[in-house]
Amino acid sequence: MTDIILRAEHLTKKFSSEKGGFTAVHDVSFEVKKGEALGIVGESGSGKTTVARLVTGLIPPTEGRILLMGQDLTKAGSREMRKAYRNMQMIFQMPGESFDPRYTLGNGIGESLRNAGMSRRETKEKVKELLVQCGLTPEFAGKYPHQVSGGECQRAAIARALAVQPELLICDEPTSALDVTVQKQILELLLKLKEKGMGSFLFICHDLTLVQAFCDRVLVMYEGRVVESGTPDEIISSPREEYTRRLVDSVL
Amino acid sequence: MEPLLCAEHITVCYNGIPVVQDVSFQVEQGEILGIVGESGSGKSTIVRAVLGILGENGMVTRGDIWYKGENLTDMPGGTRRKYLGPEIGMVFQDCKASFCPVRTVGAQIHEAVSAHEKIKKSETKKRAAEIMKKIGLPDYERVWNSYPFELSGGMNQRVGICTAMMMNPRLLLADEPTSALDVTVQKQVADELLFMREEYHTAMILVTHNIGLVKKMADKILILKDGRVRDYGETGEVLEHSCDAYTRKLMDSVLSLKRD
Repeated sequence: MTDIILRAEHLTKKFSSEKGGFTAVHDVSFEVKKGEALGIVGESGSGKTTVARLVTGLIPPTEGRILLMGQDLTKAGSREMRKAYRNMQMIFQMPGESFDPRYTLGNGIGESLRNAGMSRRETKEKVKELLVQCGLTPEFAGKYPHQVSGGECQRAAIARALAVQPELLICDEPTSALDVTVQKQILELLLKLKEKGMGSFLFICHDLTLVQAFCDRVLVMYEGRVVESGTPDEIISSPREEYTRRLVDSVL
Repeated sequence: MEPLLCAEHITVCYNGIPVVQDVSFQVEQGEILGIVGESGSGKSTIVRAVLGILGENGMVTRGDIWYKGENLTDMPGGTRRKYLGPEIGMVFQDCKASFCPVRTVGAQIHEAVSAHEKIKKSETKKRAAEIMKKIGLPDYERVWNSYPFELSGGMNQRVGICTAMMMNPRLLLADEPTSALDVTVQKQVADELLFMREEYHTAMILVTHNIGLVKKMADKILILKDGRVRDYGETGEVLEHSCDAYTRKLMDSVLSLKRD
């Protein structure tokens, strides 16, 4: 049991509106094991980002449970959530928007370390180390988000996520906003982290080729449900569901 | 044969700083030219220069753009406007954003067409329905009466293509026409654009960073890096056998699906 980092059980999320309810996620269950990368693919509106938001506690589920290393996050209070975030960090699609524009990148990366009680000097050293680890130079600590490119900013975001040495990294379309050349570099960085055993990954992406390159297992979501799961190669070479086949055929 | 569009050594500056330098290319009738490059390489600027929508700070400082023997760069705004629509059509990345949010799609299509020809609304609708049926909008009656926010991203994009095709332009400029769409929809829109070329023999300039899309659609390809041409030629030739280091790096970065 100890090697299961994240377990989602029968997650359902309903959004209510004036016109009635809408079920964005319908009875989704999955596990992420230690050191594993689980991918979630699907088109816009399939519920993949909602799953990420549920797992990270940004929105509460209507039904179901989320267990992070055995702890039920759906019952956790804000203090417990704060602790949980030391084991779970996120990397978002728009790197520039996920940093506070008024603070330097170094400040953003070091914030969680300082919150954890690290001294100013130690934090500074650690931030430099993290930047280098993510393929940047220590000078980036002094720069503001608008002064760096999208790829550099995403590297900084990865450095920030790694700062607390989390068990689980949740990546929501981490390369979608980047150029292909930069996309490949970020993918290589993530692969390197995975090989070093720096954590487990929940990798949300609409691009099957990226998922094939990075993930050990993959869930295919369509209209809020998991329609198929397996290893990327299985799904790509012999899709069982009509939708998965369409998805595979659409890759140019 | 005289090319439909011909750009000769153009340099485009914003505030006196060159963003596109010494770029030349030609597009013939019925041909698709793909312009590929990363963000900031100047691809969109080239399209803007052709359309003459560089804004107050932008200017073509050197070179000429010829359309059917007419010099587009020297043309006064009023004359150029006559070309935009019936001769040169445009599809943007986010068609939803280029529509007015408080008016129906039908009213806006009619407005665009009636700017260039005297036409009854019912006539416009008939013509729009004709095109919509062909590009995967079978529910044209509803689409015509909808506001942009009532349609999905893919539908809005198709309405954008429909609007551009209403006047049957000789040249269609498409700036990242599928980037905002899901892969499944992206493939459909690409197929529809190719179908348009078959049907109307429209020439296209396709600006994109998606190499897969260019491979599928373009006859010729232009690779831009920092505002300069790195490669230009037949798509297969450039993508498979380029000697340019940047092109090769670009191709190496493209992940392809391994299917066995």
